[in-house]
Amino acid sequence: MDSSATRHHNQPSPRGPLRTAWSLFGPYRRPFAFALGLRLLISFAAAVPVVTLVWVIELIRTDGLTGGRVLAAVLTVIAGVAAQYGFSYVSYRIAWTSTFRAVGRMRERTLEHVQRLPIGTVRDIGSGDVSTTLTSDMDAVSGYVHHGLPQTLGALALPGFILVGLLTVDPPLAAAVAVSVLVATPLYIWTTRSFGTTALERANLLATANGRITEYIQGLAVIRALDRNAQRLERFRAAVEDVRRINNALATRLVPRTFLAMGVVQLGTPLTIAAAGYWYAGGRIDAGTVLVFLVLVLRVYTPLLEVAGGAEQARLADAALRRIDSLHALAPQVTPEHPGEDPGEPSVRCVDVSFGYQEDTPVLREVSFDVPPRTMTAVVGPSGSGKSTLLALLARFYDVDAGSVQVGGVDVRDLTEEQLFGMFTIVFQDPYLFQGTVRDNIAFGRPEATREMVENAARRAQAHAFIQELPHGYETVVGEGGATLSGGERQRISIARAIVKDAPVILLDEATAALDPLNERAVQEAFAELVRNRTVLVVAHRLNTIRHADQILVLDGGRVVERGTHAELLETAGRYAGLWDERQRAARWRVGQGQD
Amino acid sequence: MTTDTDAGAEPVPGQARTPVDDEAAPDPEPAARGSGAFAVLLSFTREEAGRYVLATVLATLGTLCQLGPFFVIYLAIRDLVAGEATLSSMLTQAGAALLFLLAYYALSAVSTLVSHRAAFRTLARLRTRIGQRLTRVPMGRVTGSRSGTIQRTLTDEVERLEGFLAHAVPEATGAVVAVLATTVWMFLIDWRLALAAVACLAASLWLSGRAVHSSQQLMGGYLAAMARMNGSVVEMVRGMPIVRTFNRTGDTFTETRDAIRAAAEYQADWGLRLLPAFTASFTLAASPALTVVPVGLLLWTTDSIALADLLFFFVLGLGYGAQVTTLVRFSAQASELGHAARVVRELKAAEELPEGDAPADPGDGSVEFVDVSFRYPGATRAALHGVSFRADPGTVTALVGPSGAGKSTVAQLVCRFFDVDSGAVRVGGSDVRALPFAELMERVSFVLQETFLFDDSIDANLRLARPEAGTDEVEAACRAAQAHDFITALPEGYATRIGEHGARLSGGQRQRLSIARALLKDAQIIVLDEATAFIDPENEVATQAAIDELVRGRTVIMIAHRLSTVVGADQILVIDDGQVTERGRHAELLGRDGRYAQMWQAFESAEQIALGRAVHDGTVAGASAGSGE
Repeated sequence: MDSSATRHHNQPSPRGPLRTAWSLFGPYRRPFAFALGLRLLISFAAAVPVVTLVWVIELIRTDGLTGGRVLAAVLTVIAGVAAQYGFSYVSYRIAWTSTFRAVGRMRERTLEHVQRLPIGTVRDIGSGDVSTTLTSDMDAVSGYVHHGLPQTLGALALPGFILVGLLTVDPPLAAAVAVSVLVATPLYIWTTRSFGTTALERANLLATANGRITEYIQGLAVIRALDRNAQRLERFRAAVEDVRRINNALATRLVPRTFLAMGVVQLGTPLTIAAAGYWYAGGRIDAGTVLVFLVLVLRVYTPLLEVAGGAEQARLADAALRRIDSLHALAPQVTPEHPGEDPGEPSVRCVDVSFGYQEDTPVLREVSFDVPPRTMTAVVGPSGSGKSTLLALLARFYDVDAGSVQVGGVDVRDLTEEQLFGMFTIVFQDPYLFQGTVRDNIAFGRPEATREMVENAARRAQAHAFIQELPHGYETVVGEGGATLSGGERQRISIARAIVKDAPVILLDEATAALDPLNERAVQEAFAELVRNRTVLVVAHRLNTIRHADQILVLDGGRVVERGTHAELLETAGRYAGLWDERQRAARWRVGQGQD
Repeated sequence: MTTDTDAGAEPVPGQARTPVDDEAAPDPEPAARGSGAFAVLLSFTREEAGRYVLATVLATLGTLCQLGPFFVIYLAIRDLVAGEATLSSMLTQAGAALLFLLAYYALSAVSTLVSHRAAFRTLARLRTRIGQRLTRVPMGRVTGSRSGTIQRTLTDEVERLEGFLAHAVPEATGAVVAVLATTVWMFLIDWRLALAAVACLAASLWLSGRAVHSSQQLMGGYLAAMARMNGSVVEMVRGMPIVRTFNRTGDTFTETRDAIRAAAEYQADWGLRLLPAFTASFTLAASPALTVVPVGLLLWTTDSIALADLLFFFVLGLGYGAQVTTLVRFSAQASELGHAARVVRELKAAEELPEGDAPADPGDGSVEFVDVSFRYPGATRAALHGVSFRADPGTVTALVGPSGAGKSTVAQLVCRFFDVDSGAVRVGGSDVRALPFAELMERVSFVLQETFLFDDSIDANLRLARPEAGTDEVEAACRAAQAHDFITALPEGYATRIGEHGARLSGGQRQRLSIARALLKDAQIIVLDEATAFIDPENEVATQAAIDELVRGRTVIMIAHRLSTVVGADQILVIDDGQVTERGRHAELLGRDGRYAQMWQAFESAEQIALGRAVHDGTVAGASAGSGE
């Protein structure tokens, strides 16, 4: 790709991350909501033993603890704990299973959506980022939803229940309990916000410092080769020191604030004791009421401190959700629902095609050309001239901004993906092999291919001989974690794959790096087999390979500046003739002896 | 003491590290992780021991103060039940609670600050150590794809340790002290009720152990299901251009969807197997009342406990156990960090190459391999065996052969990226192991296919080679390297920044800058590792001219794929399967009709293949149209 710039990435969807996630939950929304509801009952059950205890203490104080009441108290405590267990089990059971399945569904739906995006968009975002969103980001959401969210809910519910209970006992004293929470809440929100902004500042500063650390590692070979260890190590150390200072500054700023908000909440305890003492001594409330408040006040504040713990997990999940949402915000490629007219003869045509990755920087401007059936067109030009972009547009990796790309006389936008790629085979510079056997990789485009077809294709792609020498021949596992193949061998397997697919139009992006001579020849011969009797468009670097092309297009600055056959272009003595001349000089070069 | 009633330390399925790349493969021995990781993590704290000890003492005192309000409330309730509560007694108690709280928060805040500072210092120290060590480890360890791993270790993995170092050390110690203190206190007051409280907690811990155990039994299958799903998703996304253009979207998606569903079902199944014990564990941890209330009331109705003691357990004993969840949380955190801790330690202790003393004589420009054998660390097969050759000063030695045969290994050994297993590499007559690094680097320049430039000005990048070089020298080098013209055409000439934040240069231009750098350095020996492999019609001629300047009068070891470039070499070594199989000049080797002759023939015919002709009649090698060959 000439440019990796994108024009629509990292935008939130109109409905926002939360609603996107909720809609992706699909049929699991109800059970999940039910589990959250049950979560409230857990807290309710948890309050039972505590309230029982208050009752027991009050009975002791008033000498009312009879044998029957002891039994009742013991049974109530046991029942409360049992209910807590039962509700927990059912709630977690439903929450976990529905979350795991819902996140699985979210993965599926997101992957499905990614599949409908233009291939170019996926490449621009980067397969690494897309994969991370589909794996780790989903896990972060799962972690928060099945664990952090219920926990936060529980941490809020128990104090809530107790506060409501206290309100019914004595509103003024309950107000004394609540006042610290009310004061601390804005403090907590302020702390969280300053966490957010400071973390953002820190992320930026850290990125710079980490960039310098990274540069040191990447440049280590050069640093050591030039013996600049001391000088560069000093810079590295400065970067490490910067990281430390940034972190220190952050801690100095945030630690007191965090403890302040938590501390203010807890100040409710002395306040409640004092207020209770005042009203008790004044005779407004009795000892039983004081007892209730003294036992319960501790149960209000400590769970609230848990909310802060869940906040960190929530932040991570929020960031993950935003990335998931921004993938969903990307517009899918519009393809006809039903196959229309099939493309005719395997010709390719570009009519006034203009395209840019960013709105106002066109990469291709009004490019027009025809590739008649079973002819070859080569595209040459300096790097950045738009060659690879042109190739990507033909295969509809992107949609053109203006003009039209046609294959077999039909606009590519009027073809289903199946019809479109039934016409094309694309051979990329850097062949991707799937984890699987050599045979599966070659038969990828036609799973029903017979053994003969696979081996015949491998022979034509100059791959049969080396495949047979692999430990398990065609059954050898290649791809990630598989047998190690050289670049030339991988390329030949990918050509065999293309031969099996047998599409009438071949798009070829010639590799820029030379291979060792034996591999180089084998790959060139494989290409020659692949293109036989096909319609071919090749982005070429080795001018030798295209000198018999039916048409050569010279691209510069996104425009076709010259076109014609090799002989015609040499005649006009323009850009192409210049490139050809350079190439011939370069081919005559002997190291240390110049080019002549 | 925190008395969270219903939230325990819950294991979190779905939070296991997801290996997106193969380097982050799951730990094969999950059971052995916890304690080992803990020891490694603790070993990092040693050099900041003073700060960590201070933070721990403060945190412990803080945790004890945290018990204060509970004790105060106990006193207030006792007074109240005895009918002795007065305004002044309660105000005193409120004041005491306030003081305890203030002390707790002050001590904790200071402890947290101190421990964070200590943690940041530890991280900086680890990074600096590793950075320093990297200048002395075998170069092969830090180049290529490994550099990505090291980089991640230095930035992300080290950073991951922060949370543990800053929090776990002081807070876990505080929690241990608090649990022990409460236990002892309870036993001093009434051993029977203390036993009841401990029994509840012990049952909870036992159940939690069972839950963890059963989860670990399922861990292998769980990780496998997750790895299969992640692998499938990553492959589907990475291979998407192929999947879609080969019209295989449907089948491939079905496969991935099955993997996703299988992983979700496995997770759900895991949850179901875990839940009974796990739910019971955290319910019990939050409910000491289950044992304390019945036993306490039994003792009370049989008149065998004092009222004050009973109330003590009703207030304080019920918060017992919450600190244990802190411990469980930190030990889970420690085992999660096992991977990070280990890679950091490994890198910190990476083996250094011993350095030689200054040589007696300055040496000439010769390079000599004497019966060199070498195997990459961890590889099963030797990369080179019994390689011997001599490159005389001022001559060109070309290494040719199939990829993977060992050409690059030879080039790297000249620069001592690794040490040989047997034999010797001599540069200027001295064994590379006997030379100081500085001296070796003085003698050898290395020009790679990929050029690394720092995010800095062009001038600074060039001067790395020789900081004291004058402006005229820098410019002369750039002229010779065919770089002066494009540099002066840049907006700020030699002061133009390059790299991420600066001008974008083409591959050929970057290549020429690295050649200019090598020219400035002026070493006698030049190693060219496929420096001319890229076919770039615009830049090729200029780059070749730059290389001509660089190699003039110097000893050259070069790896070449395009055989025409080394036709004039003084010596061509054919490397095949780690051995030198043929050697000689171009004409001699052609006459020998061996591997080289075969390669030459392949090279010439590859140059002749014309795809345009193949389209029409399948002819592979067409007659040349105007090519000079």
